[in-house]
Amino acid sequence: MSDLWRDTMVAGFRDTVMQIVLVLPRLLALLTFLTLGLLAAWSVKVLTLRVLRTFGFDSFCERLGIAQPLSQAGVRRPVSLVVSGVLFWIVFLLFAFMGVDAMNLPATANLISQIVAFLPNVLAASLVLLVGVLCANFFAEASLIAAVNAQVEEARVVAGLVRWGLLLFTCAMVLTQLGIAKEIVIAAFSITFGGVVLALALAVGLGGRHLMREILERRFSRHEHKADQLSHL
Amino acid sequence: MATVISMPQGGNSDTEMLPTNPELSASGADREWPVDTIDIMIGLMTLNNAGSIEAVLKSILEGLRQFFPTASALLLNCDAGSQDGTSGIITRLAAGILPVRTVSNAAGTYANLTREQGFPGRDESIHNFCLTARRLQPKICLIVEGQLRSLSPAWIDHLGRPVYEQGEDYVVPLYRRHRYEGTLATNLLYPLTRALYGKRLRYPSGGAYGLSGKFAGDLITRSTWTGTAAKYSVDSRLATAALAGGYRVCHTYLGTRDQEPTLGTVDLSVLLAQTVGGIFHSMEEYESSWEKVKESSEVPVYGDPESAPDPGPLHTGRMVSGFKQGLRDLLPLWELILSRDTLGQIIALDIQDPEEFRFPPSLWVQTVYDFSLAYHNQTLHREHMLKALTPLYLGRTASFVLETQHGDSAEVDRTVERLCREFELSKSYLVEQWRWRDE
Repeated sequence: MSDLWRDTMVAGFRDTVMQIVLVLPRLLALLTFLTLGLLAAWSVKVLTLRVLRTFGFDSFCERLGIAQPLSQAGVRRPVSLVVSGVLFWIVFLLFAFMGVDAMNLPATANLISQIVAFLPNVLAASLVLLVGVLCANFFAEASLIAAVNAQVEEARVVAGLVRWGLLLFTCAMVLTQLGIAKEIVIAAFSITFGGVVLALALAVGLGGRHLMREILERRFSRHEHKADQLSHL
Repeated sequence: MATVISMPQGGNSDTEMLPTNPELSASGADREWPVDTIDIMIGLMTLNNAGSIEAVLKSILEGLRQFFPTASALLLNCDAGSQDGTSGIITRLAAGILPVRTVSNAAGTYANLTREQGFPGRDESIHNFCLTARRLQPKICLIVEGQLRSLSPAWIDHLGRPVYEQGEDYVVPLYRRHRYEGTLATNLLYPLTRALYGKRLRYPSGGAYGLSGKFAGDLITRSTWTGTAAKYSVDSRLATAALAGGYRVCHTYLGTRDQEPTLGTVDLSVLLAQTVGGIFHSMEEYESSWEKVKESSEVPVYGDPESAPDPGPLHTGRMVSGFKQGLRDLLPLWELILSRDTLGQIIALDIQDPEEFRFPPSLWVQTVYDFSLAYHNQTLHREHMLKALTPLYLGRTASFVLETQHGDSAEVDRTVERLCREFELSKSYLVEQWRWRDE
């Protein structure tokens, strides 16, 4: 009995030590990849930043009108810093994936190949997200200015609706692109969008038809300017 | 009435060489014309003006008969796609009296349906006119809109004579106006162009113009017809091209302006964006011209001035509330456009009592210059930026009316003059900032 107990204990200890001895080099490989990744990513970031600044990339982006929408989208840093930051994370993540692959864990056995296969979807979704955010800000700004100039009291609400409507639309597109809960997203978006349009149609068609008629008549009818109207030009 | 002008030569009305009613395509404007010499070329800009065109054309014909009887003339009907037979009426009425050419705009060119004045396709019509002027090299070019019901025969003389006798290159009309008519011109366009180009051209646009053949032809070579410039008011572009190009510019009094109402209304912000945008854009194009100008001089004014009756009390409440709303909702945008000092002063304006509201001229000048710098620097999307100026303009206009409401026309003129001087005095700030941002 005591021999069996001793053998079991020794075997368990030996197996554990063996497993640790086997995992340690992999762990070391992961740490090495992460360290190398940090160094490589930092080098790429610094190098990119210097090259971009040398060639006046920020002022070039300002002239092209790229910097302003990014600033409007909440990215208040120079474009060169944004680009180098993105490159930093791309290089670092590449090394991190190598490290995880080196661990040879059953759960991450095909991680790299799966990620590579999914990468086009991520890139497309990122592009959709970027364009969506830029569009949302642009049209929100345009509607805010138009509403203020028309002296609509709820100008900010109008702009907010435009912004969040477009962002919602963008989110639905991004999730669809990524294949996350595709059917639910499409159904939810269709119901929401259809509901909003129906509500607007009812509000204008039933509640405000006289007002709409007046507005349209004022807008599209040939009429003489009133004598007391201030002529600006 | 003015004396008759006799042209020295080429004064034939040779309709034999000019087949009547030739319909030309837009590209046809550039073709060879079977005419040796044209003294006067009249560009009649039309779009569905069947209701007014007969009166307008009769006045033109009578004007030519009275004041330019020996001149060889050509009527160029630049039509922007009329569907009501306007061109047919013109051809029928002028048959046997005046050679007529019709240049129709190419289909699908009505890029902007919300012009501040005139009609869609007007830019292209004027472009076609200038293209033809370059080919034919007439001595006098007149541009007249088909909707101008008040056009009288004397207008032909008033617009043409300064070109022919005084050697002017660009004749801009002055109409009978009451003291608050054209507040955008008096508070922004005139003071700004005066400070920039050193010429006191009070109203840059008017619906009828006189041009020398040289100026009309030269306009084609300018880049005002394509790209960003084409988005802005063609009137602003013509005026700045003349001022910056060193052409001789003058005003002529034409009396009352009455025109056929156009379809729809135009937002003030659109009007502002097109006119002010045109000047801001020209600042980039003619940078070397305006930076050196330090003082301004009068432009010749022909004819007799007429003043319109007082419009009565104007209500400024809505203008002040427009300014207030801008201050409340557009502040984040103004923060990007205006300098800290300018924005601080605007925020500090007292808006509690609308009757006591004042927007000082010095602050208005700073505001306009900051907007021009922001336009140059592309701080914001340009159209948004120009439209964001609207509440500030309303504030300044309200203040202008309130400042002068108890005075007469002379008081209004003095206020405008003070504002102009302020623009001129502060120009060094603009030049300094402009150069600094360019470096």
